[in-house]
Amino acid sequence: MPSWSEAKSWRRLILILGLIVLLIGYALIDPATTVWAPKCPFKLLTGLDCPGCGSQRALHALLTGDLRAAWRAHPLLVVALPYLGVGLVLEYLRRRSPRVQRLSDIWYGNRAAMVSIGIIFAFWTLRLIPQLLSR
Amino acid sequence: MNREYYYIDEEGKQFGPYALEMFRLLPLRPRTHVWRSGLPDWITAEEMEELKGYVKEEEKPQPPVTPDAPETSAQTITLDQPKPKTWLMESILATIFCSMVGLVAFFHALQVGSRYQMGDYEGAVRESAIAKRWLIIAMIVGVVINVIYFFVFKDEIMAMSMQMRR
Repeated sequence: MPSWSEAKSWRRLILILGLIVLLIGYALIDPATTVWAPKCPFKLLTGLDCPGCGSQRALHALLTGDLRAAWRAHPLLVVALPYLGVGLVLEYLRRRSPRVQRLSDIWYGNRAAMVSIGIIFAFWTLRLIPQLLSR
Repeated sequence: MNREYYYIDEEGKQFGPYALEMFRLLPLRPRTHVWRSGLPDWITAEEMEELKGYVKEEEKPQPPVTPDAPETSAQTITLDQPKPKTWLMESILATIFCSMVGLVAFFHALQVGSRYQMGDYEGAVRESAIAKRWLIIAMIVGVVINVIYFFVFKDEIMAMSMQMRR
């Protein structure tokens, strides 16, 4: 096998290792109480949540097995992670058969992307309402 | 049993791995270099036993598009050349978590799918590469913004973390 693909699998290995280190970090350290977790610029400026705010806390809660805290921090992330995970597996397996390929094209297709964006904005708006009212 | 197949195009770029069923559907020429797990070196497509009858001799003339079969063209494209990676979900995530630059990647990512649907395979590959590049830019911008914000709001961030700890 030519060395070209070896370089690619090295890159993939480094990526996976980096991801594992990151996950261990989020499992051990509560992002809410450390200066090392990135803080949201939007929230710092406006005091309001951005669509992604709470996902670090949700990830920490999920990794420590606290599903309820994860739901409180970012309910959409809890729902989105399984969806994203299935999509990644489909993308990885897509060369195996034309049927998997077609399914993966739909799963992460243009229509799915537009629906995702719609859900994200709807979620953001709903979460902002109580924050705006309590000002 | 499950062998992996690869090929090299005219520009010397390597593609794969494919399962045999997928590999047979690719538009391989007799002189295309192919490789399969277990082979000591690359061989041409015409030398590969399992590709017998699947390698096209010449550039086939495009079948005329008849009005009574409007659905088939998209179907054949899907089988001929696999859809390049769209980076759609990645760009949505980058827009939320990294920076708004991710939107540029997102619009190019949408182009991958629509160009592919139109049958513009090369256009789809190009848009996929552009989307990937903007995705990387979005991530870098996100990191830079976060570092800058950390230094600008250092006191606030420290105070916030201390407050949460109590």
